[in-house]
Parts: sequence; C-alpha cells; structure tokens
Amino acid sequence: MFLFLLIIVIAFISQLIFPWWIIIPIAIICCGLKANSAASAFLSSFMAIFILWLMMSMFLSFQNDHILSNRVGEMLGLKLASYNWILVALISSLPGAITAGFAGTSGFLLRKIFSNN
Amino acid sequence: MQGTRLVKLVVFIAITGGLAFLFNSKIGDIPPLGKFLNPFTGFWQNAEDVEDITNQSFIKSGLQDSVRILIDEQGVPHIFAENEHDLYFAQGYITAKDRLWQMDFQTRYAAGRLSEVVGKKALELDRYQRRMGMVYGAEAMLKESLKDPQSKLIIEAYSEGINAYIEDLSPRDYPIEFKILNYKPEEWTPLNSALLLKLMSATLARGTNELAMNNILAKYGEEVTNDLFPNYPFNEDPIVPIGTPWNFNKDTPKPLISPSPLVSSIKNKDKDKQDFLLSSRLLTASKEENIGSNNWAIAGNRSSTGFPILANDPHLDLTLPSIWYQIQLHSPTVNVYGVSIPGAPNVIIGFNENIAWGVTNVGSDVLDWYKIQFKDDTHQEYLYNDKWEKTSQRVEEIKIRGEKSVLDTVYYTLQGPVSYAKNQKPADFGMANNIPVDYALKWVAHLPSNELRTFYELNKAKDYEGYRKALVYFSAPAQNFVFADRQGDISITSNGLFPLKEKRQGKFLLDGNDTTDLWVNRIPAEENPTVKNPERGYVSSANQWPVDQSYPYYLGWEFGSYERAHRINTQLETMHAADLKSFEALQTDNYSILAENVLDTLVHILQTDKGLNDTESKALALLAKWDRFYEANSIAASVFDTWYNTLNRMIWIDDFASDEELMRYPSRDRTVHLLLYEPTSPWFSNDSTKLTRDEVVSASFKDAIKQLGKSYGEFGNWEWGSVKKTHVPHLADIGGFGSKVLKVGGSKHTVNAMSESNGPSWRMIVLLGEKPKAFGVIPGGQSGNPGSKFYDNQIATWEKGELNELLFLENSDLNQQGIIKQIELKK
Repeated sequence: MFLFLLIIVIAFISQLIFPWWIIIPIAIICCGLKANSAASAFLSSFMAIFILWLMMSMFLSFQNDHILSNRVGEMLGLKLASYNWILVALISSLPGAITAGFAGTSGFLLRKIFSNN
Repeated sequence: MQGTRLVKLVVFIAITGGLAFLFNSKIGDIPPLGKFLNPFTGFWQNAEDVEDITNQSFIKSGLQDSVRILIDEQGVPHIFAENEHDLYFAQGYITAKDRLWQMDFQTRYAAGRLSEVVGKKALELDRYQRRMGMVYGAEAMLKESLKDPQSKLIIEAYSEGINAYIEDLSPRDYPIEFKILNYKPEEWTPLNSALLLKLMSATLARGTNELAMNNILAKYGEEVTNDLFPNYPFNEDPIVPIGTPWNFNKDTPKPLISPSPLVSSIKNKDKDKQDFLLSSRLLTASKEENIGSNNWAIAGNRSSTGFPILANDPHLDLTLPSIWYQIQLHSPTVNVYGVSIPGAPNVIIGFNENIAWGVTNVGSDVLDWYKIQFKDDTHQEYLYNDKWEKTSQRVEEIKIRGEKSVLDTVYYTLQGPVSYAKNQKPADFGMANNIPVDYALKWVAHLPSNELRTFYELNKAKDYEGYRKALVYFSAPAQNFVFADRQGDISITSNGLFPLKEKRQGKFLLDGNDTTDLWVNRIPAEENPTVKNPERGYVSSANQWPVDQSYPYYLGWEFGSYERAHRINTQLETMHAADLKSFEALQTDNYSILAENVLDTLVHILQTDKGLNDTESKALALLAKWDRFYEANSIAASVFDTWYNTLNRMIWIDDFASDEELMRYPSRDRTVHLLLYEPTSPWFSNDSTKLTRDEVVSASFKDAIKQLGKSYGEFGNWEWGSVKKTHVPHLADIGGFGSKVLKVGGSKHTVNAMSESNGPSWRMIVLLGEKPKAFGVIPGGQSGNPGSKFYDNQIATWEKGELNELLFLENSDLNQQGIIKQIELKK
C-alpha cells in the first residue's frame, strides 16, 4: 500500500512537468527501493498508474461534460452509448499501467541482483 | 540461480523498453498510445472545462499597446485594439487559439506539404498541388501584397500574432489532431495566409472542362457540340437585369489579338492538332454543376425597416472545424463584424456601421490549357510562334515523413506550369483526371494580386464609393460582391480579373505555339458587370450568368444553372415589406424550379404506362400531387430526385461517358430542353436499342424505384432527409469528430442548396439602419477543438434553419449583455 501511494504521488507531480514515460524510471526506482516481491512490484506499479490516470481522466471528463471522451470513443470504434466515456477512461489508463507494471518488476529484479551479490 | 534472475531481469527490462517505445510511436494510423491517452499531456488535456469563464491576461512583446478581446456566449471574439497593427496581431492570435490545427492542415494541403505529416500516401496530392502552381501563385500574390505598405502591415502583424500564440504552447496544449497525427505546430509565415487565399481559388475557380470538351468535339464534331453544349442557356435570369444599359467607353477595348481556337483547326483537318486531340486517354469524370452560393439585397422602399436588407449564404464543402471564423474587429479606424478565413486577416463577409456585403462565386472561364510542343524529352525548349523558347524550371522538394524527400521538376512556359508532361501523370489519381498531358496551365490565380486590400477597404468602407474602390484590388477567385449601405444604395458587381478573350476562347484546349491563342489583357475593372439601385428594387446572384448576351465582353460559355437565381428573384419580386422573417424563409427555401419545369411532363408520360407495379403506382400518385418542395420529410422529393438523376444518366451515359477518354454530360439546362421539346431526339436511344423519350422516362422511373427500395427498404422510409444524409465531416475525416446525420431539406438546385456534405457554410442577414442589426449561423462553431462546447454548438440552430443575433459591440466594457469573459493582451 505504501509503495502504491508513493508511486501515485511521485508520478502525479512529475507528470505535470515530464512526458508520460517518466513513470518508467519512477516505477523502477520506487520498486527497486521498496518492493517485497515481483508480484507486489508489478501490482503496486500497475494499480498506481492505472488509478492515477483513471482519476485524472475522469476529473477532466466530468468538467467537460464528457464531450471529448464520447467523441474519442467513437473514434476508437465504440458503439454510441452514454457510458462510453468510462470505457474510454479505462482504456486510456491501460498503456501506462502495463508499462509501469513491467518497469516496477524490473526495478525489483534489479535490486535482487545487486542485493545477492 | 543468479543466471535465471539475470535472464528474468533482461526480459522484463526488454519488455518495459519495448512498451515504452511502442506506446511512444505512431504505428500506421494509430497515434502513439501512451502519449495520446495519458491524461497529463494526451488528448484529455483538450477536454475543455464547459463552465470556463476565467478572464485571462498575457504579456506579448510584439504589441504597441494593450488589446482587449471580449468573448461572447457563442465563443465569438470581439477585439478592441488601439491601432491597426495590434488589431491584426490580435486577430492572428485569437484565431490561432481557436483554429491552429485547421490553419496548419489547410496550409499544408494548399502547399502540397501533407506528406510531411501523413507520409507517402499524400504524395500524389502534394505533387498535384505543386504542379498546378499553388505555391507559385501564392508567392506571386505575397510579393505583390508586400509592395503595398497597408497590406504588408496587416499580413505581417497577423503572422506575428499567430506566432505569439504558438510560442507559448507546450505539447499538452497542442490541438488534438496534432496529437493524433503526432506532429508539432510550426512557425507561421505570411506565405501561409497567401496560400489560404489561393485555396479559395482552387476550390472555386479551378474547375476545368476543356479536356472533356475537346474529346467531345473530336468525337462528335462541331455541330453536335454546339447543339448540346451551347454558349448561352435556354433558361436564364442574369445577375445584371436584362435591359440594363452598358455605359462603357465608346472605344471598348478588343482583344489585341484574334485567336483561332482549335475548333477551326479541326475543321481545317490539321493533322498534327487532331492527333493530340485524340491522344488523351483518360477515365470518365463528370464535373459538378452546383458549386454555388446565394446573395441578395433589397432596397429600403421594399423593406419593412425603410433601409436595405442584405443576405448571403456561401455554399461550400462543409467541414468541422468550421470553414468560417466569426469575429468583430474594432480599432480607431475600423469597426467590422463578420466571418474570416482562419489563417487570413480581415473580415471576408460581413458588415460595419454603414455597409454590409457578401459574395457568391462567378464561374467565369479564368483557366486555360495550352498544348506545348517540347523540342525533346529534356523539356528545355518549347515551340512558341514557331521559334524555340527556353522553359524555366521549378524544383519542388516534397518532404515525406519517415522517408527520403522527393524532388519533382515542373517546367514553366510563358503560359504557365506544364502540370503533367509526358510520363509524369499518375494513372490512378482522380484529381488529375481532367488534366491534359503536355499542356501548360494559364490560370488567373497565378497572376500577382493583392486581394487582402479589397477586404481591408471593404471592412472600413462607408458607402458605395468605398465599395467600388475596394473591388478594384480583387483578382481571384472572381466573386459577385453584393452591397448595401445605410444611405439606401444597393449594388452587385461580378468582380475579379476577367481575361479579355475572343468569344469561346478557351472552351476547348488551346495551341501553345499560336500567339493568337494566348490571352494577355483583362476586361477593364470598371467595366466588369455591375448594377446599382436597379428599378426592380433588389439585386441578387446565385452563380448564374452575370449578364445577358448584350454584354460586349466574353466571360465564359457556361455558368451555374439559373434555378436558384430564378426562385430568389421570383420571391424577391413579391416582397414589398421584406424583413428578417421573409429573408430567413428565402434562405431556407426548398422549392424546386427543376421540378416545376419537368415534373408535369414526366408524370404525364408515366401515366400512360400501364405496366406499373404497386409501389410504382403509389410513388407516381405521390409525385402527381407533390408541391415541389424538397422538405426533409418528403418522400416525393426522394423519388423525383432519384428519378431525374437516373433519367439523366440513362440519356447520356452511352454517348458521353467512356472508359477510355474523359467526357462530360450536357448541362441540366440542355437536358431539360431535350426532355420537354425534343421528344424524338436520337439521343434517347442507346447504342444497341432504339428507345423513345417516353420509354427512357418509364425505364428510369422503374429503375429509380428499385434503387430506393434496395437502399432504404419500405416506401415509408424514403424520406428525403434520410436519403440525402446531410452531415458535416471532420476536415481530416477523423471518426467521431464529424457531425451526426442532420435532418434537413433542400437540394443542390434549391435556394437552400444542401447536398450530402455541401451547403450553406454561413448564413447571414443584415438589416441596415441607424444601427445595423445582423443575424448569422455557421454549421459548426467557433472553436476548432472537438473537446470544446463551441465546436459544433451552432449546428442545431443551422439544422433548424434559424439564425443567431450577432453581437455588434460599440465599446469594450466587460460587463455587458452577452459577454462571458475577456482575454487581455498586454505589451
């Protein structure tokens, strides 16, 4: 849980300045320092970015009356429906979450190698 | 143990790196997913807060003074500047803020630079634009405009303003299309503004039928060609009322030379020339007859206000972001409201305290093709006046995303660019179908011009004199400028640079060697067709012939058909106390003059056919009592429209379409005449079977009913609105960014000229008076951002045929009715 919150906070602040891929070094470093297992590294990183991106997307979508997310839903080929914006927000959060998951696991594995030496 | 861990680590790092790379790259048409979908810099940042009413303030070093921009409830900016430099600077700034991607994309389209952002698939389009001399023409225009200190100031200040906006952008702020296509905005140059004005010429005055006409002439000879493609229509209602005297100079200039068009050469059986006439092997394409717009003005003695009222609705291929951008420009020297072209300064159609004006296209012949005989395949020399002259070369570098640039050499003769020399023309590129090979293009849009000045002068004009003075600067694309002022004058002028030609010069392909085929002079600007305060109390245009046959100059042989114009004039004739309501009704009038002309005859023929099935009888009964209005819920309109189009095709397809060479159908005017008055004409037969007019009329009706049944099912589903499917697509056709299908009436030939995605791009009505009162609507909105509520908020109003009252402010007070926020630009 701590790891999860740590990644969320750092990722939120750094993404205000840096491109999206800043989540990779963040996940690597955080998990390299704090993860207990490969599974927890993956899950914490994945969920942290997933939740962060989802919350941020939903916040932006609400203040926009979902105008844009509905259009992007159509662009992505979703059938017209009133809940499309939620689907779009969920889909949007996946690439970052997956990337972060693998990055976090890499961070954990990296520490393993060094700590065993 | 350590080894497995290392392998695992390497695998995970490789996957992480792979994902990072994958999600940061554009693959095919899929945007880079991580970049595009993340809510911090991706598309979510374009989701504008719908409640946003925060005032903003920016410091801009290029300004001479501070500028205040008020934004109204429709998202329209009202700019208040202390001097002209700052006014146009702010116009550039605010336009970029709303429309940057559209400006960028349209400029690239015009300049043949799309491959830079979308890759190789746009290469032929890019080559085409360059080979048609788009950049060449824009450069000539810019050079001429920069010679004029006034135009220079405007175009440069406007560019500065756009760049002042761009320089503050970080990637999260880029318009969404930049994120989808994964590229960056670039610095704006004055050439871009010139390119956008050239794009107007490309849209409105680049149509060319010469090749098709030549093929027809070669196949059928002079008599048939003259009969089916006459030089003046049977039905006409010209812009300048018939009988208006031409008070021109006694010694009206004649073309300096007396050209001998290729028609005569054919008669002389000139072997050489005949060969090249026959050698053009091209696919069939027929030219749209309906590029068009309406405008009119009525005099004070016919209006309910006692002052003139003016209306305009330019018809274009509709897109989102909207073609036009509404704006009010206010400085100590000007106060004008209207629509502008995103990327070009000034108001193009609009009004100020004193005057109002609007435009429709003039379909005069301003583009010709000259056969060029090169000395050899190096294209270094060509024959002119039986002497070898040197070509000049322009090397076009077309940059292609992710690939090496293509260098394309275009040869220029004294006539213009040879668009496609032998072996240069692509086989499968539709836009080039009507371009003859080894011909030079002479096009008015290539000549130096300063159209900006026209709009600058019109924006400030106070009266008729000011209007006439402004028009002199305008070359292309020629427009019917309608005008009204609060002193009570109304006028219309078919205005632009019209080549001084011999009759029918350029109806067919011309000979580049022959000095007499070349036109060099223009019709004197002050002798362009014009009328002021005609006795009938109104002026109007709808792309029809500007004049009757008494006009001493040759303008072209074919213009838009007369139907819309005739309906407009008929309705204006009945108005004795015109007001907003009656003008609104006329702009959205769906009455079909075509149906008025032919329906009775066609129905009568069908009624003698005893072999109709149930659906056919039902459809015929409906047609027989149809009121001839193309309303959205009319089934009769769908039947008539499908029937007429099928009939037209059945009459001509066997004679004027071929897989081998480009041809075209005779005009609607000619076809209607054939149907009504030449029932025994051999043209009704096709190659294999001898058919009478009545048989073709019956067969086409049954075929039309079959088509409708196949496409739309039951009879009850055939409502015109569903058959026509009017919608407004996105400029780059991105799914979800266009409009839904709109339920609107009208057709190409009704005043409410509405087809699938072509129609009124701006409807405006101005009631002149002590203070002008104006109304308008665009089929879209002010913002170019699909994530803004202003992207398409006017579509519903437009669909209903209603107009918004336009807010014409007198001062920059933030606390006035209708203003939601302000943007301040400080020096």
